Amino acid sequence: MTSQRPRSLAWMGAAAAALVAAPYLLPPYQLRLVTEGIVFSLFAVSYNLLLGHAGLLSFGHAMFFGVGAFATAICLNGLPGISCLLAAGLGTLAALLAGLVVGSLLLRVKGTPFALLTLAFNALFFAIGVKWHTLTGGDDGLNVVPPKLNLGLLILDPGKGPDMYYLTLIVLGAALFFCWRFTATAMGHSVLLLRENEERMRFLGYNTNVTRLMLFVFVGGLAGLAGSFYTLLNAFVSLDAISIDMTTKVLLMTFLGGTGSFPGPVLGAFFYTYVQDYLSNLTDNWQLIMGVLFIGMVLFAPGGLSGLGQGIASRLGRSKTASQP
Amino acid sequence: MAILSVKELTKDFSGLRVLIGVDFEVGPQEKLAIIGPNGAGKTTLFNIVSGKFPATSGEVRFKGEAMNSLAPHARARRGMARSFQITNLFQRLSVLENVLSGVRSRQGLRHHLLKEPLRDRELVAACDAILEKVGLLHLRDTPVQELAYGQQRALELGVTLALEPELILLDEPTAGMSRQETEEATAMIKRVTETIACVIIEHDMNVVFSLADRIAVLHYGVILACGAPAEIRRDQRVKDAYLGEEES
Repeated sequence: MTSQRPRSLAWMGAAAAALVAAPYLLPPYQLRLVTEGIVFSLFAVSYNLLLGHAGLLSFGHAMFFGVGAFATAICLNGLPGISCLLAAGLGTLAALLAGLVVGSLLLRVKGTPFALLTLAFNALFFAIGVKWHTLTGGDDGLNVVPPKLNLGLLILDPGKGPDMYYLTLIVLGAALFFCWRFTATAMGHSVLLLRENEERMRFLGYNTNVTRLMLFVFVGGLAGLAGSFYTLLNAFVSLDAISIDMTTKVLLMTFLGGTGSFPGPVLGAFFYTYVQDYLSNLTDNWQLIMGVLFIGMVLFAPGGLSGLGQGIASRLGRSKTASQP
Repeated sequence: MAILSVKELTKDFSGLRVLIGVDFEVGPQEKLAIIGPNGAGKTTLFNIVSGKFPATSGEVRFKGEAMNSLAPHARARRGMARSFQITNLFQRLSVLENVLSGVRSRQGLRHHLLKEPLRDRELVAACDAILEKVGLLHLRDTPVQELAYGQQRALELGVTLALEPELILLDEPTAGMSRQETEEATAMIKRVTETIACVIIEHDMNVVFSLADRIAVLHYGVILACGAPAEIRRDQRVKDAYLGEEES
């Protein structure tokens, strides 16, 4: 235990140094992929709070991501002079409200009806996006020009790769840290109780409707924040951001990374981003390969990449102990 | 004044009358056992008193307050706790986390967004004290699913005690236990519920006569008799319907 702590601190220090130095080490295209990986990490972590922690399988998580993405674009285009961080904040707020509305309508539903209703809500939000052409741009989407962010001593230009990377790393990194701490809070523990035994919770004095609603608002806001940064990163948002495809994407990322641990979805988001990029350069049928990969993972490594990693680490640990005199 | 008062309680399930005009009261710190054959309506009675099902008619009062319109969580917050016939715990969480769920609830830390309960020494100490009472302190970090059945039953009681209730509804606390486990569990229940009112559903007459101050006999939805254990032993209607000559 005592020897593990300095080792994990050393790993964390090395990772932090690599993240700070990334713009100096990576070519622009690779840096963009890392930035995208961070955006999708927050999206996948927010999804895993529902799936892995609360045991609620949702097929509609893209609705929050899309609301955040579109609300940010609408604010940037409709409110001249608005800061990109304020636009992202308003996008997050809009997704938070969507979480409140959808969550309050799904309080008493569980299992298959819950999954199907979230799918229906996602389809509804998508249909609104298609039909409300004047607001969302319909099939054309919305182009945005994220303004420079004046931080006094520093001016960040989201149009420049390194600046956008640092902005994403700081804001979404803080959000990811908050999510990590959240799992240890009283609310985080109550979310686990929800997964384990909702009935028993009620007989212990928990109003599980409140637990569920707070969770929905929280994950809605986080997915919305990820969506806002997706818009800032691409300087564009289309209906893809609110589509069922986007929900499938976050589901794949989370499963591939593993739902059983906090770093799992982060790992899955980066893995998906890089594998998609690699495969789509090789073939137009990259989705087929991704599908096969997903099936293989579910069948042979249900714990995902993080589960595989933990398994290997514990085997190595065992063999090391066995080889000691 | 009675801590729990049940008046004219009736429950119909699609025309099937399971409880018919059930009346009883429980005083502070009193232990009332409810006995009766399978299908008598004992667990249904618990489900109505604890708020799982609504009553068709009649009234449940706890500390003088009408409970009929309150959800289970609201009843639990007022000091009414229950255990379950089939162990009903948070299986993948540790023993400590199970008890902590009750202690947190009692202290109003159900949805706190900043406080980390496992780092709170007072909360953990309160959990340890409860685990010591039910003899599970040495297993505090063990996942519940790895516990033996008797240990899970003890934890079930521990989680219930974590609410610091004024009334506990114990649904067959020794069901499925060996003779020795039953004796140990009975002694423990006696010890930890000394200052708490209890309503106990139980089939084992040794447990019933060892724990109860009064016994109510429920027979096909009707209270057949209610009184001190000695009176119940002597009651011919109870002998005929449930105890038989040998038990009495």
